[in-house]
Amino acid sequence: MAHQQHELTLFKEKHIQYIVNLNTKDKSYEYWLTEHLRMNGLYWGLTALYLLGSQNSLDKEDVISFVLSCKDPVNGGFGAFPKHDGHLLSTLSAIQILATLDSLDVLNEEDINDLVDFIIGLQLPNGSFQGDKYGEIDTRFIYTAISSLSILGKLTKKVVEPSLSFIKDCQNFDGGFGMVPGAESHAAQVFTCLGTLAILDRLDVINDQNLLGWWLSERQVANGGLNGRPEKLPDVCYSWWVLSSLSILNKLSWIDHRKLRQFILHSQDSENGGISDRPDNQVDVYHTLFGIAGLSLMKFENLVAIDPVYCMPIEITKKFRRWPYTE
Amino acid sequence: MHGIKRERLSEEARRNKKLRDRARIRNYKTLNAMVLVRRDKRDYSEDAFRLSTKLLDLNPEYYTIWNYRREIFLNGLFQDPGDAAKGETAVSNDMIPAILERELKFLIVLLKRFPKCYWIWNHRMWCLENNPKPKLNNELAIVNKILSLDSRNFHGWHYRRYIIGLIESSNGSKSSTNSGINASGTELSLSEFNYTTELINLNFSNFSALHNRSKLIIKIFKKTNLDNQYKEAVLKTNPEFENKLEFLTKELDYFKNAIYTDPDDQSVWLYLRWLLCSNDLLNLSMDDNDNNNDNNNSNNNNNKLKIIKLLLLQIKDINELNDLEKSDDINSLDNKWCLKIIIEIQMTLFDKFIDLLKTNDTNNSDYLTSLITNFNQNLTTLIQIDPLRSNRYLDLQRIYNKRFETL
Ligand SMILES: [Zn+2]
Repeated sequence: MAHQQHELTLFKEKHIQYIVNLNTKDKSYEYWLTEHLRMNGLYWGLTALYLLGSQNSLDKEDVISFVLSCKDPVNGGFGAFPKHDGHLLSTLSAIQILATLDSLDVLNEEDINDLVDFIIGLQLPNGSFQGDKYGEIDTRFIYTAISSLSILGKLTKKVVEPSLSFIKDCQNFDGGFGMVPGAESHAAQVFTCLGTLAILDRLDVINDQNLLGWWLSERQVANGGLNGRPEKLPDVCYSWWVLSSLSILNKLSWIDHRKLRQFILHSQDSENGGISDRPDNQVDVYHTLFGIAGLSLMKFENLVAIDPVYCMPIEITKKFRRWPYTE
Repeated sequence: MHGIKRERLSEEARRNKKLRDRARIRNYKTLNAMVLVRRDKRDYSEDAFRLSTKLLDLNPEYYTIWNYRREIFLNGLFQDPGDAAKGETAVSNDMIPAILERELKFLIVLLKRFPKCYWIWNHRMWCLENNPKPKLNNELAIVNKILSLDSRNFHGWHYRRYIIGLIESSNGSKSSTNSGINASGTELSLSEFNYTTELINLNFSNFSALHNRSKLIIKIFKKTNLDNQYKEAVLKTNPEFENKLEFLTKELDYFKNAIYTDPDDQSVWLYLRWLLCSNDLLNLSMDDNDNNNDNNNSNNNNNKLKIIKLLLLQIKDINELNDLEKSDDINSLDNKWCLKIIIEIQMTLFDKFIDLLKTNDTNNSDYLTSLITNFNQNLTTLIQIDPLRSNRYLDLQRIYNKRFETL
């Protein structure tokens, strides 16, 4: 293993091929079982390709027409697949895809109004958001709602203030955030809360940034990987949730980058491309994106720079309207 | 995908899988099409319901079908046939509890196969909220079982707090006419606290239980401060809730045993850090009786001195443990976690009590100097023995030494 570590590189071409082939190669049973993740998968794949400098390897018109075909005519959001119901998770992915392709203008005024109504309609009086009208509440949905509205340039004080107060209530003794008030800290929820606070320019809501930075840095385990909670196994996707959170807190240097890079690179499939949750497991496009995004945040491998708040290329997000709006 | 081994299929195995997949795909796609067609036609019949069961059994992540299923309940199965004939839409069917009980059974089977599927958990909550007579104690028993199998299960804990919340609010509405204590509701916080003690007795390295414990402690203290009758009831079984200092001392004794057993267990250390360094418990003046006191200031100072004494004692104890660990270590290295918590306590002293440390005559002025020296030594050691996080220690050294310059 030791001598192998020096030879490890990012298999860029193989990853590009892996992602491009996801939709064209012989489709397995599992492919059909994951229709409910297709919109998210497209966002993960497109973003990974962009970071690899290969954003044109998906056909732009095809992607846009798929996104538009997923609009839910009843609730105004986007579903994960045609005929699937609109949900906040797939709605954010759809908006991110269109923004990444610089094509938000394919949405007409009515589409945008429908989207904004759909998103705002899911906020509850305590500031939380449900993922759809069936009531699942989770800080993930505050992030998806606020990020979507921010990309569309449609935030309002009325939405922002209660969201902040809900996030405030989700803080724990270890400095982290959980999915609802009272829930245990988890790195993915920390990201969704910090991402929201960063979009809203309100990092001051965090009780103790040093304590949170400490908790995040303790996610790194001996083999260099990061876990999501104490005493859990490391997983490549936390390269994103933990690292982006540290980056938002301006404490990116509080973990060992070289060792995390090794862990991510060891989780690649050197034959067929793609990255898995940990070495020698099955790859998927989700971990492929978050592995590459982590490497990009650490400025390895000459990747396109990623924005830790939006999980999109910085050259795209720098065009977004910043809250609080001045006019 | 999580935790699935990467496999290299031989040519033959690949061909076989493809053949097998072909039939499964055909079956799945047919079923999917049948369900979606019925949904388009707003078919809320038993037949549509049965097909959705089949589809969700194959793919419980298919959230749209859970939505359809709820539509079938609301617009079909919950409707009293008599009402429908009269054209009424009000849900008045006495069968609803039984229908939803049956649904919960279906969900348990699915949860056994897919314990981490958010949509199943979410649907379970929907079932309880739409049941006029939910059997909440059954749910608590189920969640006990789930947590006994995996005591860190995220969904299980979330569901547990949710059920407790439902029980509390249903008790609250029942006893709202009673003045005084909301007996059942408050006892729940206490029984939940005792449940975390049980779990920690089994295995103290259970961060989920420690987390929940921290929340319950705050809740119980808030209530004992406001409500004397409640406090008396609590003290009968849990005398440690007399006051915060008492509680802190007992809790420290209990968990120090744990760290002696396994000094590398981060869960207990993080919990100890909370006990010793956060305002939640250190803010002793929040304790009853002190609130409307004339000599609040001197009381405050007294409390602060008590805390300083306690913290210094903890540093001493943890140093002793570290010495033991050091003599056991083949390379005579310090124990990382001992030092990590010592610097946390030291930073708490600097952040909250620096004035008292400077002026108080129980500590000569050299004491602060030696505390600072020791703090810097600890950081230097940590940079070496915990290199993953060396930049954090360097940052802390820079931040605090800059502050010390102005002392
Ligand atoms: Zn993962």
